[in-house]
Amino acid sequence: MKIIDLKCAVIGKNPIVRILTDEGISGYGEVEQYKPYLKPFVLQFREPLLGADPTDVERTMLRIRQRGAFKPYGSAVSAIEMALWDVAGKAAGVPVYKLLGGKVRDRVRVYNGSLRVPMPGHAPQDYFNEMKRMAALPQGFTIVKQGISFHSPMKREFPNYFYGEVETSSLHGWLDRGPMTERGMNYTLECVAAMKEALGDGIGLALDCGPGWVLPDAIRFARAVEKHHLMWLEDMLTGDYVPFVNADVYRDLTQSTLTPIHTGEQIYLRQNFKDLIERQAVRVVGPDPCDVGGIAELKWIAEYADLHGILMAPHGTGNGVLGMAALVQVCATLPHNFIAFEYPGGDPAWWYDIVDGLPNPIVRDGMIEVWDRPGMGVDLVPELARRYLQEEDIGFFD
Amino acid sequence: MKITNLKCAVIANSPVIRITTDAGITGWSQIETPKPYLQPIVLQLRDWLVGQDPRDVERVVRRIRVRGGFKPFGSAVSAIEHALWDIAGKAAGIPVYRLLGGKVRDQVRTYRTLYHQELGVGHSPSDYVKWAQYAKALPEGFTMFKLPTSFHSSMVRDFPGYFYGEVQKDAPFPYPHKGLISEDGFEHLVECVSAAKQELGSGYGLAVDAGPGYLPHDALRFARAVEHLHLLWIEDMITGDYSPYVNHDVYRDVTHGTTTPIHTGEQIYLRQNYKHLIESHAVNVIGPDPCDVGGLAELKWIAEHADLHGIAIAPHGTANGIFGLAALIQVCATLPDNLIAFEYPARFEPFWYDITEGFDGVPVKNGLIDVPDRPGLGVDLLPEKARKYLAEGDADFFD
Repeated sequence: MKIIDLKCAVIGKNPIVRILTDEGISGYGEVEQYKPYLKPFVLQFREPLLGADPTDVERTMLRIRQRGAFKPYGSAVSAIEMALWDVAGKAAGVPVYKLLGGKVRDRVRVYNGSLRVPMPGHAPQDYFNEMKRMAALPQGFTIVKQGISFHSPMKREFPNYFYGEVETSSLHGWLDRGPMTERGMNYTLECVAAMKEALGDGIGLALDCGPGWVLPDAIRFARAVEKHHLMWLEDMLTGDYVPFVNADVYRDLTQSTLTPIHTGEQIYLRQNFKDLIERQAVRVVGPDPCDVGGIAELKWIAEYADLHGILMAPHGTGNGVLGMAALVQVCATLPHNFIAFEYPGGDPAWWYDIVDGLPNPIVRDGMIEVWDRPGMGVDLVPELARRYLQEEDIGFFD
Repeated sequence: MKITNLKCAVIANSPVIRITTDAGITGWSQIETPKPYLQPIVLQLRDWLVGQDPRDVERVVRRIRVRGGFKPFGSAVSAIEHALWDIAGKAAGIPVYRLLGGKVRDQVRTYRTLYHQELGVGHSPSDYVKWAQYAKALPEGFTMFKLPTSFHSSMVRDFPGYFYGEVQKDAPFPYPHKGLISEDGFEHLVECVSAAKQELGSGYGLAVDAGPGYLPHDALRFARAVEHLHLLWIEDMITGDYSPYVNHDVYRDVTHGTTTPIHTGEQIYLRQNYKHLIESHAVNVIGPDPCDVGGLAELKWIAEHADLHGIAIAPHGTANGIFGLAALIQVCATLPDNLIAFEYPARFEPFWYDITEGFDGVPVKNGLIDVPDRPGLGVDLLPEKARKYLAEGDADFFD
């Protein structure tokens, strides 16, 4: 089998990759939303991939893996990898999980990442209400994640939250950073207490809190919330869109507290997890299949983490329904260090109407049942999806 | 002063950046030559720059630094940084080196990477003798040369059975090979490098660009086998050009087993990604490229960090173009004494001297370049002469 074309269309907010083969099989992969600007990057891989056999996934990836980097520049390579697995699964007539070593569970746990509504404010009561809302969602999530502190408007809205100057750049990443005021710290702790009060001990709470913390504040905070038995604290020091890891600084934080420390969504490839994992620098890693280099790369890292007693909770909030399908496939095969993956959902909601293969409901009791359709198991239906194509992408399904 | 616009045009396959200000001062810079595809990434950063004061370079770069990555994704941020320094220097009426702490030398040493295709030779010992003869005869009087060989050259394809892996005939990107080198291949490599060095003699320095692609024990074997040649360094054996990671611990094992200096770093973005390489003394020489590492100030900081740990620096720059050359001169004039030399950006066409002002032809004499004193980076594009090289889509570049 040979690749005869690679196309990319921005459908809704997500760039979608389509790989076409000489045997009429198409594979789809999805790039995280908010990244429409990556389309030209995806298309650059067209020439390098033409003629390759997509069912030899690794061999094909060896041709292009070099041209990725930390978020957002690992997405093109990653989405292509998932499209290749989709082709390989369809060609063999098996779900992708069977090509990744076989499933070890029939249901995959998800945590709520994407089903959010704008909060009216950022007072403890607002966090309490938001947790009550999440707990009542029909999906029955058993773990939820909430953004606070430097990973939320709190850093700008709460007066004198930290001692640094507030950045005006709207780019996300390591921009607002600095020592926190005592009031800012206490306020954050009040919000956490309110959330725990709302959730009780029946639903796990993870907090996405950075990047932006200085190390001593991070240690102080992680210690102060130990009594709340949190699932993890995410990305306090480096993380989303930070083009490096600083594993040694994470190690100091992790080794100083009982609260599990988590990072990794922006990291590309196993080599860049090495210091984090081998030096016990975190308790949980959260690679995103759409950024780390794909699902086979994610599985390898999960086993690597397991070897070192580190847990795995894959990131995925912006990955869309095709990205969700890929997460289901790979998470069905991960070792017991798997906690749950971050549930993406369809955004806009019409995404649910233009694909084939999703169960209804998708999430039951906080879990997704692993399906058995060949490939990723969720396919775009051209006649339904076509009307959402932008003019320049009109030939996407041809 | 405020930034009013950022533009990017591809001239002869090389993205050139133009930042304009409300004070009428223009900053120029350039991205490595074979990267025309980066133009959209540069332009995507415009909205975060317009309205900022370009003279507060760090404050501006801080806004966009998170949108860079390892080569080639650090280039846009890096080149924008260069253009900001150009503006800051012009605004103050001083050369950029003064804004970077002041020069510590009047002449900067530069080394020449000589590609086999430049003189049309292959990868046999006699070819390497010709290579050395050609190098010595170059009019610029370079005192140091870099030899691309082994996995960093077509030797992998030209010498049958060079290594035990499969030769990739249709690889879309460079340096696709990695694996155990055969004993025959190994002996051939050592003969070739020895032939080049013998012809050069002890009056010239020889660096070898060899990877990536080595297994660490082959790397160590090679480094040990050429110890008597007194090489300047062996570059990128384990990881390097376009590797999206460093593997510093593997480098450390090699470096600590040989007296031949081990070098890497051209693809690395930001000081944080140099940290382990430097602090664990994993190499003897680092080679950040100002057009990939995050800019001139970043390169200088890393040079001082390396110096603190007894590590030398030889900045990479082979494809940085005429603006990259100017930038390398400015920053290298300020580096500590761990500076060996920077890589001369020899891969740009002579017409660049005609469409710019600042250089009177190739500035190298006896392998050295006099540090110029023009304000800013020292090179300006001349719109009336450069216009004819603009692609159709870039026709309004100078407007």
